[in-house]
Amino acid sequence: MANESFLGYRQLRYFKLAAVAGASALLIAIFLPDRFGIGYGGTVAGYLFGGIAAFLVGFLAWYGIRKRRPPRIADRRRLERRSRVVVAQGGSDADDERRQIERRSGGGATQQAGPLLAWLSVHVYLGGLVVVLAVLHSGLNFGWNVHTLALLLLVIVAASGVWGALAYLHYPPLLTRSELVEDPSRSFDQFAEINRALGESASRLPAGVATAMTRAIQDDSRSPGPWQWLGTTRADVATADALEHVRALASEVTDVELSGRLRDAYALLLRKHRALIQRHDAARLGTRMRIWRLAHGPLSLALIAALVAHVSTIIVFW
Amino acid sequence: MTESVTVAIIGAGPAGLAAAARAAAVGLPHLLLEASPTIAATVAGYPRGKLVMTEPASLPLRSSLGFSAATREEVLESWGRELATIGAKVRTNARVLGVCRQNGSFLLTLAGGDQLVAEQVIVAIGRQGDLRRLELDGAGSPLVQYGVEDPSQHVGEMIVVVGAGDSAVETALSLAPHNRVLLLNRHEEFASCGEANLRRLGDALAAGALEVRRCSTATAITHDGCDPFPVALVVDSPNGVERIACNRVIVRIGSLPASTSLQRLGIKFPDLEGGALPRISDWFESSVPGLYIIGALAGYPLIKQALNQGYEVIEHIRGQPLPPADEDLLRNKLAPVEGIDSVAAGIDFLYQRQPLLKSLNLVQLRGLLRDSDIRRRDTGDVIFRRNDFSNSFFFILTGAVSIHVQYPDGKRAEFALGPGEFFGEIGLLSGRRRTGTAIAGANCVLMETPQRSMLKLLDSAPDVQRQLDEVALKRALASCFGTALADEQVIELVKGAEERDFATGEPLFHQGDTANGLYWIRRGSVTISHRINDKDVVAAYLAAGNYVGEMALISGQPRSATVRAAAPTETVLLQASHFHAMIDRNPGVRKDLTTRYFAGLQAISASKEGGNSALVEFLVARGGGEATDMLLIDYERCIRCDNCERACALVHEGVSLLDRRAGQTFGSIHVPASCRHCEHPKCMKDCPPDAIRRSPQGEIYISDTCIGCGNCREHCPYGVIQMGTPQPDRRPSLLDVLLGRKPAINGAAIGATTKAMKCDMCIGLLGGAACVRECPTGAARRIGPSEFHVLAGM
Ligand SMILES: Cc1cc2nc3c(=O)[nH]c(=O)nc-3n(C[C@H](O)[C@H](O)[C@H](O)COP(=O)(O)OP(=O)(O)OC[C@H]3O[C@@H](n4cnc5c(N)ncnc54)[C@H](O)[C@@H]3O)c2cc1C
Ligand code: HEM
Ligand code: HEM
Ligand code: SF4
Ligand code: SF4
Repeated sequence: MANESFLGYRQLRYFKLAAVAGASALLIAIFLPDRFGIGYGGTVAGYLFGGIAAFLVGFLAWYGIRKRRPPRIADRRRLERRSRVVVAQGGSDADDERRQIERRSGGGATQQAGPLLAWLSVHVYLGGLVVVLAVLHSGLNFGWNVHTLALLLLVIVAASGVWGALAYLHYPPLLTRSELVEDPSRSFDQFAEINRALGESASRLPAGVATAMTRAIQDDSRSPGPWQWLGTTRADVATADALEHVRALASEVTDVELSGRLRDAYALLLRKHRALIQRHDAARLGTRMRIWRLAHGPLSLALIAALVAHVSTIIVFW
Repeated sequence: MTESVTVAIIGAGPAGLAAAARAAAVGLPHLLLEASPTIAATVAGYPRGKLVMTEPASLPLRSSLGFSAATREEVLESWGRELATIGAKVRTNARVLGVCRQNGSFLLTLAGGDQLVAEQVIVAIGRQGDLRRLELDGAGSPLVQYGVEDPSQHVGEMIVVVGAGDSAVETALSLAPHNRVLLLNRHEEFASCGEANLRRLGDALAAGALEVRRCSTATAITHDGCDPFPVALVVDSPNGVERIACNRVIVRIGSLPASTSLQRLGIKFPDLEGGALPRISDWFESSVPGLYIIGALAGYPLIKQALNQGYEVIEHIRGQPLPPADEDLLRNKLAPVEGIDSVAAGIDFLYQRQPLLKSLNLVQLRGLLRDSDIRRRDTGDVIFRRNDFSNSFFFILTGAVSIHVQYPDGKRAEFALGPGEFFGEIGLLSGRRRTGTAIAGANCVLMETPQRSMLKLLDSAPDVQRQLDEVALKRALASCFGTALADEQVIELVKGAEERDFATGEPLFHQGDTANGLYWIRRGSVTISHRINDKDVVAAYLAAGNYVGEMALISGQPRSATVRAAAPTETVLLQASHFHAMIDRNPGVRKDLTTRYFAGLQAISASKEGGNSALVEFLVARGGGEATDMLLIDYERCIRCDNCERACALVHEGVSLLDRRAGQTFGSIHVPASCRHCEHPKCMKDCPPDAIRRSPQGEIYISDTCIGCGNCREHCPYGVIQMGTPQPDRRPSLLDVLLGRKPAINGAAIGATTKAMKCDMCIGLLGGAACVRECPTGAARRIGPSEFHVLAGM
């Protein structure tokens, strides 16, 4: 679809903004007479960078709030137009519509109604800018103190942000693939359906293969848990094993009818295997996203706490 | 035993009760017969604690029974009390099985064999119809139920729910949390179940909250209870015959239409055709003299109307006719027309001066007038603008109106209309935006009729439909072929025109067919596709009001494209010979059409093979062809954060009106369960208080007058209307956000029915629909069918 992505939003408008700002900051750092060294953060340029960086951190964190409190501003022009109709005609339709609009916009709003997409685009690029500004601000003086802790947290938050942005670009197609089902109108119990067929098929096969298949039927009873995010636990052991069994037996038999039944069983097992892998993938991707959400947001709160500590120690001890 | 009374009233709903109450009050010998054990079975079947609404507010109550907004329980209690005080004669558990005429009076047969002779019969059996029953031995047991009043009353039971539609699935889901529930589906698929419910069912199954049996048919019910299960259902399933023991069986397999229950009474109406109901007079008398039909069955689906009619019909029977309740209302409506001082004069005026209304009977005309508004317009007033969505249809009573249209090719034209003419017919037929701007001329008085009333009228008055079609077609042809066409030429062209209707996906014609004529699309829309390398490639989409099929007529070659209906489509086929005769006589038209022909050829050669026709077909199958605005989610972008749902709930009283996970995906395009804002919304069709509206911007929304009857939910083919209790509306405060207090996405519990809720595209909010505006990745978007082929990369 031709919609813009959060990276390319409005022909990279916010990337350009961040790039220009970052380049200016570098020029200032190079050409202003203050010299990098101990206490650089206290120089004119230092205060400038630190101040802007701190402001930007606040703005970036506001994204989380904006996201949870969508603006609800009534379109005044439309309301007025409908009010005029109501007054002129005493019409009930226009009146109903006005009431509806007023209800939707109830609760008031203080923010502009820009789309969240724009906010995220700004967020991502200014998030990068903040790192540049903060590093310049620090004058490259690091130590085991709360100041460096603040910078460290900032870098971690930004780095996790970059990971998140990449995930936002790469995960959706993977998620889609893991959700794709053969027949949507009955997807919700595809396991039950396949298992029923597997049970039937197993009952007409030799004992060894049949037990392997019966074990494969058990495979989905383990619901995928959060530990699968590393992709280490395999959900398809028994099914893979049964596939192996069927293949081995099929290569030996000569009986036409039996080999036909084995082919059917194999196809069924393959369907199940694919379904299991899909479910596994979905769980893994989902868990990773959850962990990311648990990291990026809360860490940014820790960053703000560290910044407060940084600034207060400066005020108290400097 | 045979009793006899003056008036027998069948059905103790609001209508029947009011009739009995009035009859008792005036001492008319009567008997009210009710099939169920209690009075007002329909009202008693509302969800527990439901607020009973007193719509329409403007109608005065005229009844011996009181009625004010209160809970279901209070209303039933007060009716029961009042009936006893008045001394109305009510017999419950008395289902009427048949009614027949017998020397001037009626003979009623009741279940159980009793008979009753009555001079007059009032039929007030409502429209709820009969719930379809399991036709099995043992199905009469009280443990085999046809509904659940309050799911929370059942705990720790084993319950079998029979059925596979929305109501069966919802019943099963509402019981699942506290019971063992097994859902029995006769078929393999849940075809008649909405997508949102399918999604919920899927989640419940994955969580092991309930079980499903497919391809399983109940064949018997036994009561040889082995403890602790008193009933057992014998089921024929793919695994053989099974016996499922349980505490109760709940059957939700739909209901029979009300016309069937009327027909089953065995009354012979001379004018009954098909499923339609017999005509009734101003005084509710049917075509069978002495037999009256009132209440919901007579087409008045609200309690207040039913109560009034019960009262009025008794007054009529005892020879004390009243002026109709709407007399004052109609007089006031007619006030703006000069020289009209009574309703009768106004009605006469309409019959004389409005050719379109000539064929209506008095009841129809009064009804139309009741729904309409008559207003004087100042000269120069804009009545509607081009590209507004249309809501209403206009009759010019006096004065003039000018219509300014602009054609797709930029040409403008102006038409002058005078008294007796009408306009707004294109919007009415197509359900699309206005094609022109209407401006009032001198001394202009207009009657504005809501589209929904006009559509109802078209259904019941074929003559009006025919006249309207004729005029609409002439005007459309004039706009298609320019005003150069003289009137008689248009008439010539329309001669022998045939109506042809097509279902979604059905071809009007195939590429390579010989051309039989020109199709004018009256309603619906079509896609035009070409075969390129053995693949159908959709090149264009044409909406109602346009014509197709002219290319082959001009070139004399076989059809160069396949044209398919993208929605239920009605067309008018103009004969090829008349068309040829017309262009032979009009060199100007020929020139225009030839230009169009070359443009068409260019479009064909430009249509790219790489485009995804299958995507367009997929969208059309999901209702895209009749949509005006459809929510799509690009699954190449969607991070599954469900922020769209959360944002929707925040704007809509705590209820998300879209279900992101429900619905289907094709490639990377996902169509979630969410309103399509159809051109001809089926949800609007049968709303008792006419609460469903379309704004001039096109949003379909539900106004405050909704009574929560659930009809719209039944009628929406896409299952996107929810019944629920709106939560107090609150935007989370800053503190809520910081403390991580999350508002619920689905505040309204399933089954708790008070009001219908559906997407209103966040009507009137700056920044547009919240779902789209609050999508962080830009995956959500709303588009109309004319953008489909762009979407598909064609
Ligand atoms: C969920 C829901 C909510 C609603 N909410 C409202 C509201 O808030 N406000 C409002 O104004 N309207 C509401 N309505 C509409 C309202 O219920 C109907 O308009 C009204 O009940 C119609 O009254 P009636 O007397 O014509 O028919 P009904 O109320 O349907 O009564 C018909 C009666 O006839 C009996 N009967 C049927 N067949 C036979 C037979 N053969 N022999 C004997 N008896 C028979 C039935 O058992 C029933 O008791 C609601 C409807 C529903 C479904
Ligand atoms: C994103 C925001 C900020 C970050 C990540 C940050 C980080 C740092 C770091 C790493 C240092 C170097 C510490 C050292 O010298 O050992 C520093 C120094 C300093 N910062 Fe900040 N800072 C930020 C904002 C601010 C603000 C808003 C102020 C203004 C009140 C400020 C004032 C100072 C001062 C005065 C110093 C020099 C102190 C010294 O060297 O002893 N900083 N900062
Ligand atoms: C350095 C300062 C940053 C701060 C304080 C910050 C803060 C936040 C916060 C509070 C959220 C909301 C989390 C939530 O809604 O659960 C968020 C989301 C996000 N941030 Fe950052 N962020 C920063 C930098 C970055 C950077 C540099 C990037 C990417 C390059 C980034 C990418 C994202 C993304 C992709 C989201 C998710 C958006 C969404 O789901 O709506 N962030 N950030
Ligand atoms: S709710 Fe009405 S307008 Fe929306 S999809 Fe259903 S029928 Fe169409
Ligand atoms: S909006 Fe729906 S539920 Fe409400 S009254 Fe109309 S049809 Fe009934």
